[in-house]
Amino acid sequence: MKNNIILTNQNIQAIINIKKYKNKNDVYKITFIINFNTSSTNYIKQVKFLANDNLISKIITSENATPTPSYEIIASLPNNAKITIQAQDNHNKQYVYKTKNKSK
Amino acid sequence: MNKLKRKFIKLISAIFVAPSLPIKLLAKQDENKIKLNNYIKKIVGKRTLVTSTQVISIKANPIYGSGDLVFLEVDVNYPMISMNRITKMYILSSGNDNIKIAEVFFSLYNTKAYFNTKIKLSKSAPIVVLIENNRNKIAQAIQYVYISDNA
Repeated sequence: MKNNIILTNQNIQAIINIKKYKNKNDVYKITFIINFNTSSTNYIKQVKFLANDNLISKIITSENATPTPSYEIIASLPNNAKITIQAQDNHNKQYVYKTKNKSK
Repeated sequence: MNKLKRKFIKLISAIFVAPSLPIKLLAKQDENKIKLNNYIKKIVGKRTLVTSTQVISIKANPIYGSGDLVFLEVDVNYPMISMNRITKMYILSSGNDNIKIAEVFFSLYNTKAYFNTKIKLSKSAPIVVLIENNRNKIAQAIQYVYISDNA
């Protein structure tokens, strides 16, 4: 099972890619990329990945350490999970992205 | 006489000034190594740190043509059941001025302690991965990454 979801919000875009992991039931390899214009003064410092409002993983990064905010994790997701990505930049500006429809 | 004087100054410069450049660079690298060791000590605290390369697998390859980007994949061979699971992963390197590259929190939904990202390293350096389980035990694995000047 494979699906790409592109979510846009003003000047930012996120791509979520969910693939079944080793044919295991409800276990998925999840790639999420936040299209953020990283510079020496602006960078994503925290990303939370949630499914049905449950926190799956939280990632904290440092300035100049991950210039492309793209991450991959493995997790168990319920059917038709509503995916949310909460990102925070170094100015504590919050970005929230939610899927509307079923995500896998 | 002036010619001889100039030759002498050139010789002295070659001996004392030229090596001072790499020394400065080495000093910076040493400074980062000290910072890395201090950071590890701060995370570990009074716990015993074990090196576990059989449990923690690190794949770190410079991305060709990207300059200083490194593809990093950390896969931890650990059960991830509610009673015994990895809760936190630290990715550290002296190859970046910010020693702490990333910190990843895993939940009960993570059926595997796996993390993949692209990191920036300005020079060849070791990548240290520290993992913590829910029983407050800590382990590490180290992978050296070679950054070529032609990357």
